Amino acid sequence: MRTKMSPMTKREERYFYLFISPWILGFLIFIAGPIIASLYFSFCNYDVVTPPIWVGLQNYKRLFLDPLFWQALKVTSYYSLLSVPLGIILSLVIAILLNQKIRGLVWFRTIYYIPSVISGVAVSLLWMWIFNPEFGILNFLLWRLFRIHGPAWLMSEEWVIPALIIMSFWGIGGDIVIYLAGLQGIPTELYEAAEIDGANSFKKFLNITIPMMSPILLFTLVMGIIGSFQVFTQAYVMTRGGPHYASLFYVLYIYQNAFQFFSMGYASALSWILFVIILLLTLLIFKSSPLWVYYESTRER
Amino acid sequence: MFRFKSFPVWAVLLVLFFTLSVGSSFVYAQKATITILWRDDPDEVPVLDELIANFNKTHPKIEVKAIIVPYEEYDPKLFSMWAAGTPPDIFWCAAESGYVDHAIRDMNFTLNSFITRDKKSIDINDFYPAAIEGATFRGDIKGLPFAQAYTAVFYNATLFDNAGIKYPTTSWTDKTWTWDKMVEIAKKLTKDINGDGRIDQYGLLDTRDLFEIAWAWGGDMFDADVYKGYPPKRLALDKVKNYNALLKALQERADLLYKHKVSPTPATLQVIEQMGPPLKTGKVGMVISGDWSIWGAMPKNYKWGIAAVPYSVPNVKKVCLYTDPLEIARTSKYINEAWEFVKYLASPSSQKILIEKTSRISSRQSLRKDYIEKISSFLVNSKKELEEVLSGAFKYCQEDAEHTVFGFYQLQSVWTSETDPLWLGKKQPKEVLDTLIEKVNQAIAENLKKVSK
Repeated sequence: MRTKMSPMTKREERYFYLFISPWILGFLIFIAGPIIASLYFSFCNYDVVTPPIWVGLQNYKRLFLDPLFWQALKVTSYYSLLSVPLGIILSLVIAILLNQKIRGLVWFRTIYYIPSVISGVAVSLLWMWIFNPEFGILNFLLWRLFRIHGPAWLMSEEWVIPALIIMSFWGIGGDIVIYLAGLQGIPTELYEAAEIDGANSFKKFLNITIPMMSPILLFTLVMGIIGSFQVFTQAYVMTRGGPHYASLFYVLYIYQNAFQFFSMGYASALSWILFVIILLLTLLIFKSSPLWVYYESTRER
Repeated sequence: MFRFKSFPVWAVLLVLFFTLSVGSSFVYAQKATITILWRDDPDEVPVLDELIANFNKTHPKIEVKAIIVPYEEYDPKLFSMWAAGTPPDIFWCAAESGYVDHAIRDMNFTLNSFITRDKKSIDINDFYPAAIEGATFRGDIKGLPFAQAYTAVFYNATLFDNAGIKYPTTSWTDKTWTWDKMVEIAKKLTKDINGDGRIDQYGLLDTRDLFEIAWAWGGDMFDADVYKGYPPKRLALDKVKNYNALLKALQERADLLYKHKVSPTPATLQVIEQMGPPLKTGKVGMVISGDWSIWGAMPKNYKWGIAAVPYSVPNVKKVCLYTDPLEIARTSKYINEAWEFVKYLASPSSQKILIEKTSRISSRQSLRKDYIEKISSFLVNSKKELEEVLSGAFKYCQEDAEHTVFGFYQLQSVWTSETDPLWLGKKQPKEVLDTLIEKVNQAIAENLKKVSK
């Protein structure tokens, strides 16, 4: 129910809108506008230079018949399915190790965080050297230490995605910091109580750490999946989607269509499908979250 | 709050404001500001800056401004400026889209009338006929050549000396200079110098694109009218002669990698390219490429040479010419001023600066001797030999399909991906070629939809 506002409240409301207006304008012009425009373009033939022509659902029909659309979806899902869970496990393990009371801990934390501040392009160039099949350090070490002839990595249809997954662990520093904060928020009395009950380390981890961390795991899972569906820089810089489309990530395919082939309508349709996919996945995770996420504040589930 | 008393002050201020703004825009209108869109090439930009400064000094009524963008942003920038209604007045095929792509979208102004009007001052016959051909769309001239490149064999003469091999010929009609002979020489130049079981010096790197090797082996990927600006309807590879030519060419190229082992594999090439342009690294004996292999400063620790491209099949010789015509936006407000600057860039005096600063060739035949003078300073060839190479390179040539075939880049990206398994030694040429044809034809069909509207 609306009550009559005092002049003071009215003025404050005016100021509120005044102060927030740059953001609102920015949002409308630079974010909402293009989003709506792209929805319109997705029903058009549009090459940027000549005016868009309405073609109805043609772009969406083409998409389902386009083998490269399915390839892009396959590549991206494969990457996502492996890199997200592995990334979560690895960063959780490292966070737990960094949560121990040992000397020089601050140094270790810094060392593990440092890689994630370097920009994507620089990292990509660095890893191109690491992965080079003939001169790269990775295959050199594989041979020296294990007498294994390493694969061709980025030049191999089978190994390019595993290579990019390995490379994605370079940036887990961000997640580690989040997990560390979460781990430090777990009340020690829970562990003490469990110890009195005779729980071993593994049981403590399974029955205290994991449930207490589950809201954070939910957050990183959602962000990880969204992020993995938007992989672009690595593929653009390192492989250009190759060899033979083996690293044709979804967003790279959108980019190619939009800014290299100037099929802006088709690229818009691809973007909207990506939006729907990410939305559905996120909804699915959120719907499933009551089953596995524990919130201390909610008493009964 | 508005008060009557302050009215005169307001009025005066208003009148003053309008006078000043109208006045200044009038002064401004006296001077036409034209923009030129360029890529951030470290060799080209200083030359462009110098030429713009000279031009602005001598043309008080025109001001030229350069917009410099990274290579990969060139086309998006050009197209989005166009969409915004503020196209650059002058642009060119600096990135992936060619002047035919622009012409089909009605972006570039037809220069025929200007060229006829100013025929004395620009001397159109001074340009290589092939270069003008490489700026012509369905009979209309769409740009004036500024930069130019040609195809030849570029070699590391020191490696030839070390192996005790005679330098390859500069004659394009020498019947003994064949592909097989080149492969033989390449074998002798390929070496494992430090004896670690790994090749560290390769004999030959053939960088030609698929349509070029199809030409070399006597075929063609496209029908003749496609190169004149008519969108391809399908690849011309359903003709047996063309199909067989490209199949043979693919086989020969793959053999360089895996049979003769005289060319670097994609993995090795990646390493070599990270060290610099392959020829300049000293890791490769011969390179078939555009003359960018000898652009800029050549390392002094080697001697360098240039030769004719050999016969792949008897009596067939066709190589790629790369012309960069400067185009004027059809919707430019200052078409005449832009034409003045385009003429200036293509003038002999500007072209001489380009040769001097970048060791690139000019599209003007009269400047061939200046170019030869420039490159003979670091090449082992005599001036006569250089003359021979160049006359052949401009005789047996056809303009780059990237510039003349509509939607080329999209087709090229398809065949680049489809040939990956061949260069990686995973598939046979025939298998690759058959899927390639199907996939490229699909892309052509998609492209056709863009022009059919």
